[in-house]
Amino acid sequence: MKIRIERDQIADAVAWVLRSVGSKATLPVLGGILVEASDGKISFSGTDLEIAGRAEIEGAVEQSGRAVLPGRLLNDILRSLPEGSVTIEADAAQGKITGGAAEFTLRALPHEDFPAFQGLDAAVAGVLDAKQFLQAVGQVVRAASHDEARPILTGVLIEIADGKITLAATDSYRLSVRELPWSGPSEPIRRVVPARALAEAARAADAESEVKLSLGESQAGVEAGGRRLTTRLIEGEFPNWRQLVPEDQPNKLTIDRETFAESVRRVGILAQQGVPVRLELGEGGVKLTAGTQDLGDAVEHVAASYAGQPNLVAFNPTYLSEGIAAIEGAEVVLGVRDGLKPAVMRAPGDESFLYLLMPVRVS
Amino acid sequence: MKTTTPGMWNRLLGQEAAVGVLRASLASDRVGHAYLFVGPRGVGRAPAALALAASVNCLDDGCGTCAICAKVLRRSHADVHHISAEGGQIVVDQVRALREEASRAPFEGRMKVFIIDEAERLNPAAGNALLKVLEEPPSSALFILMTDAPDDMLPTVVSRCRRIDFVPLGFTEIVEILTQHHGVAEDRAAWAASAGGNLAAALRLSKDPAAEERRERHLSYPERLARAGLSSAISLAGEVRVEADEAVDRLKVRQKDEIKEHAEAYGEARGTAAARKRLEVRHKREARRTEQQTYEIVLTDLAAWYRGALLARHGDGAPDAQIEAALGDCALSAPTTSFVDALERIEATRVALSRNAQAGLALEALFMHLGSIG
Ligand SMILES: [Zn+2]
Repeated sequence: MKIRIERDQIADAVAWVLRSVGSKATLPVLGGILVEASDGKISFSGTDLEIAGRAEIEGAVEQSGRAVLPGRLLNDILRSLPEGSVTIEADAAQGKITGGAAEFTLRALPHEDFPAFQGLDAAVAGVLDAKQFLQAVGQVVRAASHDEARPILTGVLIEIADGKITLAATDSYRLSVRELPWSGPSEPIRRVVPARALAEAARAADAESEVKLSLGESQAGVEAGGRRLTTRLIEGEFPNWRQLVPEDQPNKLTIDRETFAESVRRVGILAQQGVPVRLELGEGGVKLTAGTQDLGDAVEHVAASYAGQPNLVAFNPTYLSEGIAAIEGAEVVLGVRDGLKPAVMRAPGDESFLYLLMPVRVS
Repeated sequence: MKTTTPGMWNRLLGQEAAVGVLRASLASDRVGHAYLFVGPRGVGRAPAALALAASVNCLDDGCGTCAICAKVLRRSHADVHHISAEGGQIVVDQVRALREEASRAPFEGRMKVFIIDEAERLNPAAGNALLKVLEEPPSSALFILMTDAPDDMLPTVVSRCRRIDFVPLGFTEIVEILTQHHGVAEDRAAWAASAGGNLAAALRLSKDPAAEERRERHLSYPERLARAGLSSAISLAGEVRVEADEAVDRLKVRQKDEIKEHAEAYGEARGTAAARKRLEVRHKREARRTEQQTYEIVLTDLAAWYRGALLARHGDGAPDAQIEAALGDCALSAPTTSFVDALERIEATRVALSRNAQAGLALEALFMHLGSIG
């Protein structure tokens, strides 16, 4: 293999791929970056077996082929080279990197050991607005569980049906669901993508205008601007979240989002170590209280419009804050049935996002 | 079922029953989620685990030659995971990592396989964590636990696994496998079988050209001890220590390559410290095992000489050619009761060394005793 590329281009691509190169892995070849060249296309791939990154750039392919070079060394070398074109010549045994008057020779890693990701050729794929996608992922991932004892809940369920794509995550205390229009193939599918990997993939597409989302049998890919992050899916049955969402809520509080968020944060200072924030809902707004005998009490009234019967509900302050933060727009509608049934937050008139929150039982 | 045995399986000899059960499950597409391979080290449990791992991923029943099988054999398949004790135990963090890995779809293959060596070393927390995984096994995961001490495992874990017994291979079976399937000469096979003690080690020995030279040297010890008496005991014990050190040094060269490869690939990046530590722990264990094995071989060769001397004197059978060549004055003239006594001492030393006795002292004591014969 022999390729020639501008230093800035290759250095950027390799630095980006290196973020997917693991350090915990036990297989030495995983510390390497796979360089492949054919038909004028040059690609760099790295993986930690959870996420795989692949960057494709254009350059002169003088001889096609593939080689695996040590990732960190390659990155350091490329960054140290002077501007201008860089040549990489590599075979199974070694790689020679030339830039300006400098020449480096690196021992290659066994490329036949580099794991062959199954690929996403047969995947269901569609294009999404990058900003919307990043926003949607940001809204749902925080509700995903961190407890690996139930791996399925550490993922985000992605469903495609009826021209819509739905992202849902739950840690069984709250549920976050976001819908986006979907222009790709419409046969219904369900896949569960690790939340951490999905967040990373969405962030990686930040600077682009569009992203291509691919959902395969075992992997999902997010691709933008010639760079693709692929992640393995989580196997297993994701809970049926639809049956958790109540049909309608008889009591509704409509409240200024910023004011509500700040108030919860303030009162929440006295709601630590499992102490909930209590919301007394009634005509004229909400009274937030928190406190214990040891610490003291906090009380704050927030004026808001309320329709329904007076009610007392209590929530974990962090989960409540994260729900308020996930809502887009100036106002939040908090719908409740009573102090025991799940509450639902949305933006007024916006059916595309909901945040469901289990109340904390208080006497 | 195919009439020819796929490549991954025909390397497995002497374990017809175990192989039969495993291949039958494969053929009927009824591979379980968890297996417990029970049997002593070196009889074919690990090759059988690799064969099973390859067979569930290979597109051709574990052909042994395709890229997938080759990766499994090189232990570099991304979906075949090897778990072994870190510093004496398999700890809960290892099982947590396994649990996360098991929940993911396969990376490049059809099934994820987790091969757990010395499963009796799962500590209680790790065993319980593994039990939870085995109770609700992810659909595309296969667990293979290997042990020679199933009674030391959590019974609840054992009961979740399909047990496959691997029979210990006796001297005769090992010799037969070496001569008939690996083209090793009868004498050499017999020696390798008794010095190695198990099939895996016997195979290694029979293919090591330097081993024969070392054996010749070991076989010269009894006559040298008889001639020079006590004065040579200390120096010969030292010679054996040097031999063990050299074996460990050869191992360390290979280990250094492995460390270098690891460092080149990962550098000093965050998170590599733990991986380096794991490597170190494994290397230490390998070094210890290599040292032990050297003593084991020396003692086997010594015992073979005294047995050979007994045979020659009683005239009921002939020792192998290499031993015969090493029999000298001592073998012909010393009282045969002292040979029997020597054999007992050698066996006692072997037991002491396997219990981590001080090698230098144990060998000196043995050689002093052997030096008093003749
Ligand atoms: Zn194969």
